[in-house]
Amino acid sequence: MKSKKGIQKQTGVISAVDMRQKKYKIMYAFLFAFMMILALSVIIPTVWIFLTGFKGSQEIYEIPARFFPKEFHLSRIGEAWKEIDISGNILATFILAFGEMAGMLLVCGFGGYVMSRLRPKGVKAVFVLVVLTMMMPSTVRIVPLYMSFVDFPIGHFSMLNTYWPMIMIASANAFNLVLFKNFFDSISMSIVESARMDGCGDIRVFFHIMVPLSTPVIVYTALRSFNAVWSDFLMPMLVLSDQKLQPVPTVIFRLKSTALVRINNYMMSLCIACVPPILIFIFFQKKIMGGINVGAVKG
Amino acid sequence: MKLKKKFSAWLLMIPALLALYFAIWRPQIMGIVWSFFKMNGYNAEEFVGLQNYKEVMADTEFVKILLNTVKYVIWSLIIGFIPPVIIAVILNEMVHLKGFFKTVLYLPVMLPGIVVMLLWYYIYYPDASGLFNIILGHFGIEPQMWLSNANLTIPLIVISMTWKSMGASMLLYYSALQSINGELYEAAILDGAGILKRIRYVTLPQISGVLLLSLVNQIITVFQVMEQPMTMTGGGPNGASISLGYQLYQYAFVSGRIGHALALGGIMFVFLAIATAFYFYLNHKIEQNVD
Repeated sequence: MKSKKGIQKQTGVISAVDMRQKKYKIMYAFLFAFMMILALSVIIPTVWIFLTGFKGSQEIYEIPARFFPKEFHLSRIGEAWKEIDISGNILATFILAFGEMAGMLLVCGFGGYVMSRLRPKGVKAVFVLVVLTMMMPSTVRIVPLYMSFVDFPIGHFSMLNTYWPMIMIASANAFNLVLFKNFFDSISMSIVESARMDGCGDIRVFFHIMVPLSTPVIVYTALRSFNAVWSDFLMPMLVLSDQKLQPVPTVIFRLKSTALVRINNYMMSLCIACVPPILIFIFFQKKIMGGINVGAVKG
Repeated sequence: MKLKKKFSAWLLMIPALLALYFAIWRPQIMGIVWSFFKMNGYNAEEFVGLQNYKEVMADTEFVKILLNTVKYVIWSLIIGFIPPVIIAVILNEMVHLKGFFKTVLYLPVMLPGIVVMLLWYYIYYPDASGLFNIILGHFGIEPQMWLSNANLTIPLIVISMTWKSMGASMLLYYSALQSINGELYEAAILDGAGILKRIRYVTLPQISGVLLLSLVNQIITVFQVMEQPMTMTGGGPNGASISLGYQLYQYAFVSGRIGHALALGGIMFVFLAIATAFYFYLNHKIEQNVD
């Protein structure tokens, strides 16, 4: 019952028995070719960013333009780096990313713990509210949100040109809050009970029992939060007028509208913005793509 | 003792409540409240009732922008909703390179959103240096206008959005497909069902729950589209790609018409609240069916 290459077909509509017929073999070949084309349509544009980034300054004006650069010099990185002057912003992005990650983990971790395990009276209503919050349209609240950063409702101070607005928004992640709650729900109650018998308080139970058992959800949410910082340009653009404080995505958007930067150097800035997320994808691919199962744990 | 315990539990909840209150609940509610006020800069001055709403809807562009937004949603259903389903089904058929396909198609999900928007901006670049025009050039075809073509601009933006998000929805459907019991197919084969019948009567009913939820979810997300027209077209050509979300941004941060931005937000909120109520209704129904 083995197919040609000795791999048994295990899933799908077409059965292993079907695959022995010529008709289905041809059909499979077509489907395989289709997937190959699809994969290329993802790979070619991605690679093109990098290739254009490495093109020489003369070459970018040549018509017809070429897909591959004529020569490949690593010195292009340094050259582009000088023109776009982005090192300070990369550091800023990392600082912002860790701030958002820490805020999100603290808020959603504690919140999930209270909703899942401590359950004081009235917390159920909060949970319903949190689920509703997931569906609230973010575009609609952008203006009042900005107004509160200009003049914060408590104390009437300005949060402009600080990272607090972004950290606050990242921390108020209703989706992750529910994710943490559901994950904590799945941790066996008996472990927690026995720790309590030994005299552990709520906080100690959280740090010594819940946190070590929750690495999948912690890693998954932390990575997503880290990645989001490399995507988000709008709120930092509104809040941070000081260009030195801006994260890389905002710089990229700002450079586009100034149009002073040549396309090859500009593409290099896109490459730079891609590197951290791609590295994370390479190292944590299983954790990220398996994250869908983290979310599937139902309470 | 009990009171103390309760107190400490709420103490741990405070960061979450504060963050949600200031970042989501308060702006969401105050946005609606302030939309009924005359705004002077960022200060609410006096209650004017529906004045802001009237002015926003009286704008000659309003109907056009609303229709544009509907166009985004419809195109995203045609281009963005159905293909990931088909791709997930085909991926599930693969014997060879399955892991490779899955990883590669997921790659754009991980790329920064701003990079993807600008990448596609250059793919669609209207002179001979854009990727599409480079490819057409090899076949001797003149450079095309792409995004500057008013009829194509919305579908082209939707293609770029689909390229970015396809992997995520594909993975979602794929894991639903993986959980289908193989015996169901065997039974269908014994009944003499061909490929199409197996898809129609076994595959689709098994994943219909996930499909419905992501359908409504997508409508809600795309209805709020803002960053794509902002980065890729600036709303052009001639306003052909302005969405409600982008118009709201323009009102608030370009032309300084805060009251109008808030009223437009209120209008979007009503549309989205209806869609969301529908979402919860469906969710409830589906969960009932599962149990």
